[in-house]
Amino acid sequence: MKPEDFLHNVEAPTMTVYVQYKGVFDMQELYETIADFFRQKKFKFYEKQNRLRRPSPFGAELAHNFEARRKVEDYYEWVVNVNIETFDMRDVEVVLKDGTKKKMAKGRIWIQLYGSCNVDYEKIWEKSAFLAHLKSFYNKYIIKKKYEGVWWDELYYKIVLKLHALLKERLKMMSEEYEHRHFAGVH
Amino acid sequence: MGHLKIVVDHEKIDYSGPVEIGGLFRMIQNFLWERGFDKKQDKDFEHNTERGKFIEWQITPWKKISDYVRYHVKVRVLGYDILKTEAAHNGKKSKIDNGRLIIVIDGFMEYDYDHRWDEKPILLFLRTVYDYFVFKAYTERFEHMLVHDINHLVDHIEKFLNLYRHYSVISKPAP
Repeated sequence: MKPEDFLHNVEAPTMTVYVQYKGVFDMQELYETIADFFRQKKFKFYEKQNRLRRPSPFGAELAHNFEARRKVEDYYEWVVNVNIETFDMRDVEVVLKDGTKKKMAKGRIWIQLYGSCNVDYEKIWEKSAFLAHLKSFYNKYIIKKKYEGVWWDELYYKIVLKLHALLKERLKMMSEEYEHRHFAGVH
Repeated sequence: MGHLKIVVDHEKIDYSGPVEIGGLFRMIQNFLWERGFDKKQDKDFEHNTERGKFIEWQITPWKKISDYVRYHVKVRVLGYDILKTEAAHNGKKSKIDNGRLIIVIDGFMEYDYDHRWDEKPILLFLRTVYDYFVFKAYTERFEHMLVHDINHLVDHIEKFLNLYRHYSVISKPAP
């Protein structure tokens, strides 16, 4: 018998959200926004992969895979993954409203965001079959509402969707407004 | 997957003209949030083309009605050739988006979203009998509520886009 057969509700993944944009954008600002957002939210930020390719004369292909982790309590943690890929990206010089010139990037960008709420991240309750059963029971019947209704909700609305809105704001997209940005407090 | 039933199939609005797209998205999200729907963003695409912006925006908010039934409302907005234009509003000049919008709304009902009744053929059969015969009155009532919510949303969007301004009163006004 495998542990998965009797371990239930060990993670609650959020829905995946995407941004696709074609035009002029500031890659450095985008990166700083993501890193700063996670720093403010007390996450540990890991750059898992950075890849640069030049497959065609139309521009470079950049890929960034980021992972952010926050141990919220002893029993659960949040993990957020951000994958960014750019296509046909090349540098352009743009003139800002105040007349100054700035180097930005032009091309297509694709961003994928998803997170998950994991319980017992240190695997303390998996040392024996009895403990694992106990954990499964606890997840399924005792903390289920809190797990799905509070911890998961906070991760989805306050982290994933908020970052999604922030990235759209940085890209100056038309759908940048996020109606519920402050719906559960301003922190 | 639980039993997914299409209740509202492709309610469509086709509009060309001035519109504040950010405000439209905000209004749709706010409308669904107020009615207790959770947000799910499927697509958020924006391409700058030579003729203007092309956007594709899709959300599928959901709402659990009971421990057995869940609503899904899919709102898809396609925008073509969107450009900023100047408009006068209350004597003041302001910039506003102008272009063609296609809005498509679908409404679904998902039964047995926890998949408790689809592990064996006999359970699936019982579920179908239950949905169509035993639970019929409730099923229809839930459908009516979803249709009502979507009609209300369509009405809000049409008001937002000022689609009613071309209507004229056919009957004689009351004396």
